[in-house]
Amino acid sequence: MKNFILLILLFVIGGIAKAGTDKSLSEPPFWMSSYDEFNDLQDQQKKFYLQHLEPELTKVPALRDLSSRDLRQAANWYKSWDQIRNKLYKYCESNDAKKTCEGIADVRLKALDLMANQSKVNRDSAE
Amino acid sequence: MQKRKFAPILFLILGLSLVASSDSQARSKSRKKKPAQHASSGLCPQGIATTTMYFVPHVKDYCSSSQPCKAFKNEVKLQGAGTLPGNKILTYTGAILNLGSCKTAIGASGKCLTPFISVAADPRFYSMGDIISMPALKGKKIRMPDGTTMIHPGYLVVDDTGGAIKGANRFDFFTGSYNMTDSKNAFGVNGPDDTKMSGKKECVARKAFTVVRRSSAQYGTALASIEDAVNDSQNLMYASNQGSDAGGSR
Repeated sequence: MKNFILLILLFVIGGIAKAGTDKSLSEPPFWMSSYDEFNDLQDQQKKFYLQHLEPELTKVPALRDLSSRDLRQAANWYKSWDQIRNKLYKYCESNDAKKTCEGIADVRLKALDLMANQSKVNRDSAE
Repeated sequence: MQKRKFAPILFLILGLSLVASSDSQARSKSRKKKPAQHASSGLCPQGIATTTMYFVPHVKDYCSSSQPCKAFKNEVKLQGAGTLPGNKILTYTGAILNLGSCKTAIGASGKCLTPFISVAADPRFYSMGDIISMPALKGKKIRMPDGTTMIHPGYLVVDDTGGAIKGANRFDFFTGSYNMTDSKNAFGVNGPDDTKMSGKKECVARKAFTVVRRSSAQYGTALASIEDAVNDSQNLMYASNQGSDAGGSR
């Protein structure tokens, strides 16, 4: 009986741990660029993204103390970048966070748009 | 007696397990909630790509010299940019930018665009670098703008975006310097029926696709197939040139 309970206990602990970490950040909505996506950007896009991302991220309670220095450091180390991203995605699971998260997602779209195809059709559509 | 002692603990554990499971499912659902499609878009059904194409005009195809002429500048205004000699690009605003090591153009991803491989997609649904698997293209011979021939790997890469490209199954295919009506453009209106991608409203089986996300286990294999196909096209040209050189020297 003791073994049986131990087995269940392990199953439950495993389940709780999985619920906390099983995040598919590679599926939409894309609130923030993955480290790989960010890393591929041109310098002007990176500069724009970091500059505009920091004030938006500090609206997230868990990232209130994030400084531009922290973000610049994270831009060079994927683990730190992922930590920030995980905190953001966790926050964005709440419905109350919608406005803030959409503001953060907009910065990504604008950074990508700096190098996007600017054919007349695309320009007219964006206006 | 022992069973009675453990019964409350057992119920507590099972209760916790159920809570954790339902919480996980709810979170998973909230994460998987995708942005709404544009109602007015007239997109193909889910899983079938709604396709168009775009190109970057090259000055050599429009002007008698390497200096941008009026016809080229007009095309640049329409297409957004045009290629100049020396890996430079003229934008519709009149700015001249250096392409670095890129041969054609740089996409929103910050990476070089590859004709017949790079596509523009909606960044609300795709991360730059995501791969689109389109099996119908696999094995098709594609004549590239640089004169090489590529055996298409059946994969495309999301390397770009565009204001008019909206929706999860909306893709704009990059065809290098080939315009839509160019007879050499395999995706163009005059291309073979089995590779044609010009008809936006043509929702056919050959446009069926699946997505290989950048973090997925299949990503590395798909990317390697693309790299092999692009590199092989260069090697084929090199081998063919070597062959003709040898023939000429005989």
